[in-house]
Amino acid sequence: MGDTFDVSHYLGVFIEEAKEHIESLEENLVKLEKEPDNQDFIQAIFRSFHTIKGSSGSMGFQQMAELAHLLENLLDRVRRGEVSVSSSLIDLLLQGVDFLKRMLEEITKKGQEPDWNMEEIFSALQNFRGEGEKDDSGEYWLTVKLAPDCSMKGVRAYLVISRLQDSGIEVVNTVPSLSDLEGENFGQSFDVLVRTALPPEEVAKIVESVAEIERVEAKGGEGEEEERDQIEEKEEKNTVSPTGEQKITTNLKKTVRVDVERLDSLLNLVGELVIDRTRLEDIIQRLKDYQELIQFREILSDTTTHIGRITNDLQMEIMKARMLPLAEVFNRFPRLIRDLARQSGKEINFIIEGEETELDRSLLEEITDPLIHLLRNAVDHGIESREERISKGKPPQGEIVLRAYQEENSVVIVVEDDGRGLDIEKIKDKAVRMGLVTPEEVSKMSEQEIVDFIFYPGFSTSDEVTEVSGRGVGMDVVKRNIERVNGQVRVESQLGVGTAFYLRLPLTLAIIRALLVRVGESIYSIPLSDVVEIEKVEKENTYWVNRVLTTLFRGKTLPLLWLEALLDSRKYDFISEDEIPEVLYTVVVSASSSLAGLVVDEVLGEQEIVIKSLGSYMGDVRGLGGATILGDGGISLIIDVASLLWKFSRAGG
Amino acid sequence: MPGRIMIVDDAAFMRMMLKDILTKNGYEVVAEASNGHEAVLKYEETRPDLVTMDITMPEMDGITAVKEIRKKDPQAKIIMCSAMGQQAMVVDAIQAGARDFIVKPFKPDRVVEAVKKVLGN
Repeated sequence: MGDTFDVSHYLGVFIEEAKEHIESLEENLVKLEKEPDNQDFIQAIFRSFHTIKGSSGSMGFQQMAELAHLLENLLDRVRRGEVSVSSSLIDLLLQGVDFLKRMLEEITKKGQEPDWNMEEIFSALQNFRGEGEKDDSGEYWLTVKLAPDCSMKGVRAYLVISRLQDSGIEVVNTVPSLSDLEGENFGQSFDVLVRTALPPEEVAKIVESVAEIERVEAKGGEGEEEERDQIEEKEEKNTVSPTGEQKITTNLKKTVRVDVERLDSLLNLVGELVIDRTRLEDIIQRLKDYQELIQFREILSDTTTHIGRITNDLQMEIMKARMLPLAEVFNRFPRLIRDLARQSGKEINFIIEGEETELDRSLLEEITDPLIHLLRNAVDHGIESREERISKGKPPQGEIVLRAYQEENSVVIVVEDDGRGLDIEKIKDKAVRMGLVTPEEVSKMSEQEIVDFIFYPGFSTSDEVTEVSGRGVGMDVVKRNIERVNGQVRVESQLGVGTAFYLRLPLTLAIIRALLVRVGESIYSIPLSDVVEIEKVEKENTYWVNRVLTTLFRGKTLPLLWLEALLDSRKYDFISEDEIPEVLYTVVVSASSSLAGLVVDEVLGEQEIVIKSLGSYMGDVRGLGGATILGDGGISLIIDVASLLWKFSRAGG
Repeated sequence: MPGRIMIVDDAAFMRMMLKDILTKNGYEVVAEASNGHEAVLKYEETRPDLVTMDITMPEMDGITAVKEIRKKDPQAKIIMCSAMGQQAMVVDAIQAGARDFIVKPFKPDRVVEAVKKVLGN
């Protein structure tokens, strides 16, 4: 198998595909547990195991193929109604899927399958007995002889095998291999090893219902009943088909797998185009002064408009190609919720909505952990125990809804539970005790502002709050992760009724709207999503508080920071009071619920910019999120507000 | 126990030949269609016991027609009529639910065998 034919360059595709199947397995198994009679789920699960068996065998991963084979066998017994769907069955199958997953992880890391002792799971799968079930299936070989003038032998063989499978008979192996059969590399007959409870005569009858079959003979049909011991199991191991058996059941879709890096570089190239377009617009502006060139200017203007339209479309298309449905992430959550619910002994109805909503794939990776966090919190702390719910007059089964939808240029993901909700009073107490606010301040705050304390680092770790509010384990991390990708987090909660977290995410990371500001000779870009307002602050309205220059902004103190000095980890460049200008142009920005004013020399305007990364050879770039190229070819550094403010706190506030 | 059959083929010659073979062997041809679209409509009207379906046809090809018909009647029994070299398409048709296939040029006894087996008589 592997010795004459190099399969290593299929490894990437194999891993990708196996991953997809494992994810859909987890999803479908959990669904099946809820609807044990749903044949669609059973078939889908069976097909996934079958595909994994075939492809891992082809790749030479024998252990994995064997495991998938046993899982497939068990599923086949379910399919034929010999084993009924029960929680213990699902547990065992999920356990098997976990093994597949971990093996795949090893394969991804090392390129070869791990040398684990799998006896336990193998025998658990082989010896699984449903309630009152008697296993009477056996394996035997059939020889199928085709009519002498049969044409399209390959398709004929395919039809025979698919007819057997449709009748609930498992095709364990074929001689010659399936790919040889389909490629018509055989004479007038071929052998099939079947596994079924049906007697050979019945199976022969099924095969003979296909046209142009001359004869079907069963071999070794005697005594197959008692063959179900170790000897036979050994033989079974040897008969794991090494060939691409997955051909049978997978429907080929007309898609092409493209390396993500290629898409990234395409998007980068489009970014360059967008920049060039801006430069062209710049040239047109400058041509205004030359009356004699007015005709050329118009032509250039038309062409530029056209290029603009095309680049916009191109940008959209490539962005769409990078988009993946949220289902990629959401699908693994039913499993998570199921396990968590079982552990905590709670009953939870988990509902997913809008999983078809699409998001840029790099964002998809970023939101997985925050979502797991929120869901875990919802199960652990949000949903009450069954008894507590009943005593409160709530339905005994808790409900968690994970919903996604698109709203203009962003995607909103909601994690909502009908649990105990956040206790505003307790959060107030805690905030005051932690010294975050004074009792007077807190009494003036809105409910929303109070709830936002749960995002404060360290707020959550206290057991008290976790107990009463039931929230906050690492909520600051959730918020930071989401804000890092230019997203926003909002929470709504009502005591005793439930809590909802709203994550608002941009559709893509690569292109953002930004405010361009000038400081000295340099032009900086501040992401518009971080900008609250632009203020003209008069010097007479500034005050020194703890050696930080501040002003009042909507009744709150606002630290004023000199952008250039801050990037240099210094606070201020001026030494004496006199050096402060009379009017301070201030961009009010917010990050992690703290506000700050960035003092700049000039506000230039708003523009769409393409983010270019700064590359790893740069030193300390905290405070900067990248760079972009401007219309005139100049470079503008992009401010990363969150890390800039962090830097400020480090500079000694 | 012979049955009621619908023949689908864009070539009138083929339809005529198939019709001759089938009627000579006691089957009743209840409908004929010259493309997939027509086939789907006529299937609904006549509900034949069996359909012979050409693969390449204008308007709607045979594979799509198989899918459409099986959507309306999951029990529909359909035999594909294939030319040499159409292996992949026949496999597609089988995946779509076709029960068997015959290969052109037709041999009368092969046609009858396939029809008999699919009808279970």
